Amino acid sequence: MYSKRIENSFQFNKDQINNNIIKYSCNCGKSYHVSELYYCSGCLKTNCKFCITEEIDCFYCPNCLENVSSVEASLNGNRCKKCFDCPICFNILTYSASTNVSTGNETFFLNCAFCKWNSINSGEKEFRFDSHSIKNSKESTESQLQFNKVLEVVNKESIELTSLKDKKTLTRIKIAQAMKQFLGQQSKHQKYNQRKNFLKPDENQRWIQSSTPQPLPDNQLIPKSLSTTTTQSSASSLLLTNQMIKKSIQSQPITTQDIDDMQQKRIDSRVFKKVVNGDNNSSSDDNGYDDHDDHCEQYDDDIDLEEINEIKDSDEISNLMQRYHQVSNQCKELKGLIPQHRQLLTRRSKRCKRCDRLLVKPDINPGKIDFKRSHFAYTYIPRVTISKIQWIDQDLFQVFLTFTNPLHSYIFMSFPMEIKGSMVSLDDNSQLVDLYTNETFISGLLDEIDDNEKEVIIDQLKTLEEQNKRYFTNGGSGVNYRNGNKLTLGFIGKVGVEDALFSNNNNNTDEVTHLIIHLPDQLSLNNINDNDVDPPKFKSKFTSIKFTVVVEFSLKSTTTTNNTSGTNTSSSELGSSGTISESNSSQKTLLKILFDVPSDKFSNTEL
Amino acid sequence: MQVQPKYFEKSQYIETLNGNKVSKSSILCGIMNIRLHGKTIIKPGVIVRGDLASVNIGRLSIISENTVIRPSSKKFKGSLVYFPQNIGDHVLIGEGCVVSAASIGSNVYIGNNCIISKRCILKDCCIIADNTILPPDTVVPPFTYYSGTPGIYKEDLPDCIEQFQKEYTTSLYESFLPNTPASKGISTPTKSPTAASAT
Repeated sequence: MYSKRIENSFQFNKDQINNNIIKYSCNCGKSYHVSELYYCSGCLKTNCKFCITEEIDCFYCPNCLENVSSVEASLNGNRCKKCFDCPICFNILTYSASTNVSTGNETFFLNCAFCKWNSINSGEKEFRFDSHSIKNSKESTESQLQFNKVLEVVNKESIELTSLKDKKTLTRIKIAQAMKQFLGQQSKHQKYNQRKNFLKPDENQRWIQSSTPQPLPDNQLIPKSLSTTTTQSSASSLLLTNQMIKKSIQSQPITTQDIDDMQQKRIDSRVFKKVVNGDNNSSSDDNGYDDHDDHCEQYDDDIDLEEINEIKDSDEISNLMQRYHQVSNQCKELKGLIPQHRQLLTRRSKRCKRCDRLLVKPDINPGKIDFKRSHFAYTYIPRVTISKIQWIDQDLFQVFLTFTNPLHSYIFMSFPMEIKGSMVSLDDNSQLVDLYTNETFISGLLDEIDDNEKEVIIDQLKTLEEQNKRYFTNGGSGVNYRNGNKLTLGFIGKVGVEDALFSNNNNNTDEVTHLIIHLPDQLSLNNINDNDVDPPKFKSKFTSIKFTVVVEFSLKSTTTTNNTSGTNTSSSELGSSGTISESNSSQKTLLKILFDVPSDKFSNTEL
Repeated sequence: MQVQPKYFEKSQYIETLNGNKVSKSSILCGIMNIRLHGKTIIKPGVIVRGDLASVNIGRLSIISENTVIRPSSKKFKGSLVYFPQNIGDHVLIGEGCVVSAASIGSNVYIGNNCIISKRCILKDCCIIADNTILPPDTVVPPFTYYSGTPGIYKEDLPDCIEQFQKEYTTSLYESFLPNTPASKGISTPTKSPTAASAT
């Protein structure tokens, strides 16, 4: 499968230019910076954010850092009871008291330390936590009440459904759970089923990189149960029974015509209607639309157009963000904005989608940063950095890669000549042409060899290393190429990709052989020596050079004592030796590392 | 890309036994109250107000050019009381910041030109983006990314940020190298060259 470069999902990684240069491909073909990946030790593969399932472990308030139980969180709409956001600047409000000097009474109010908003100036006499105004405002609007009712029904139903297990109910469970997921947070005992039955949620919705629950959707397709069902008393409290589904389909089937209509209405709604006082019919005739206009009247903006005209100072109007923060009333004036409870954040544990193994389990104490389980790719797979990259000829470059072993033990790695899948990525414009073909090793953090066999193998690899000195170099920087748990290798790459690499790969399961062009030895030797003189400059064909390196690593060496493995010629030999190579290969992890080096990072690009 | 080595003029820096590198053109007020726990880099133009209250800076922290570290204060019964300021390990503070937080945890990244106002509490493993202004009394929880004016929660951080930040600050420290074995003639004692900042 081809790998693709994807924009890093975390703002933090987007900001740092460095973090966009080297990306690791996940098994699914998407590639991200190594800090965004996980490593599943069960399937020995990396997991990107699309290859994990998440569960919410706990809710906490980002301001008071207090744990909130999931019941309490859903009761309060995933908001903290005690902390308030400033309606103007969204900063946290402080609860302060002022004493009246003459009477000695204390007045409590909320105060924003940033924009100097406070609850007294905004009209409220006093602010107390038991104040009724806050309680009442919570579920005041019609839509919210209705929404809560639907949520309740769906919740109830899905709990009932989980006890049944035949084929028909299974689809209903899925629908119910999809609905629940869409509408709000799942309760705790539902998590397991949710994971099992509902592995593929709407990815766009789920993976937005923030742990605040999504804003509540205002969707026509959410069953508007209560208006239709309340007439039929208790039996009809089930939304998703077969009869109900049939009925709703029969009574209001959604056709393509409906969808077209909806889109048309959306387009129409962008045109401002003339404000016609009183007579609704004439306006609806003019625009040529029907049913909904009867009760959907004019737009809010039109109604208080007069009012808005009165406003002298544009600073008095709330902006979009401020309105979004109070979905219930969406006040258009700053004066009407009221403080909102702060949204809770979550701690989430993550599981591998392939084998359901637990990858990450955070501590539930929101102040702590420990993990009960932490299978980050960052701490499990060899990390790569470019220590130096330079042109050695037109369209030929030498790149020095530093591999860091994050583990305690030795790891063995090789650059396979042929793999299942592709050696290149979709948008590559260059490839490495001169790779070290033997296996090599990196010592771990502890730097000790635990058994004799390993020692023998490492000695063998070291002698091989001596024969292939040109790869083991640090670009003349004076530092040894082996330095603690780091190893620097120098490879030569060429701009332009062999067509064969792309055309071969029509079938994903095809084995693709990587083409290697060995460079004349004088050339590579020459350029190692001329480091001290001013190197010649070269123009780059592309603004950024993109190439892919495939690395296989494992904790056990594949080198056998007969000293021949790894090279192209002996690959058949290895295969014939049967079980050993097979068991070894299953231990290996294949990494595709995608490079995207801007040409100004080359030490001798002519600009 | 690997962090490229950055060379400094050896005569311009004081190196202490536990690896602190303090620029001579930085201003450390009240040096008795400033405690550097080792392998800390303080770049030129930094002002640390140790005269107000004690300042603790953890291991492998880097404070970049022209940043002001100033303990926070609160009014108590009419007089200003200054709190001691703690900065954890592996903290990177960018250029041109004003930091008067009450405490900063470990593995924190603060971008350039930030203002961390009085009595802010930055927990471990958080990131403040460039040009952020954190209002007074803000609490930044772990694994969050704050940015904007005022700084508000934007998104979560990758889970491995702790390891990432450790690696990053370590590599920055290791690539901050003295220029050449400088002429060991006369060291110019411009600003209190006694390594009292070291412990």
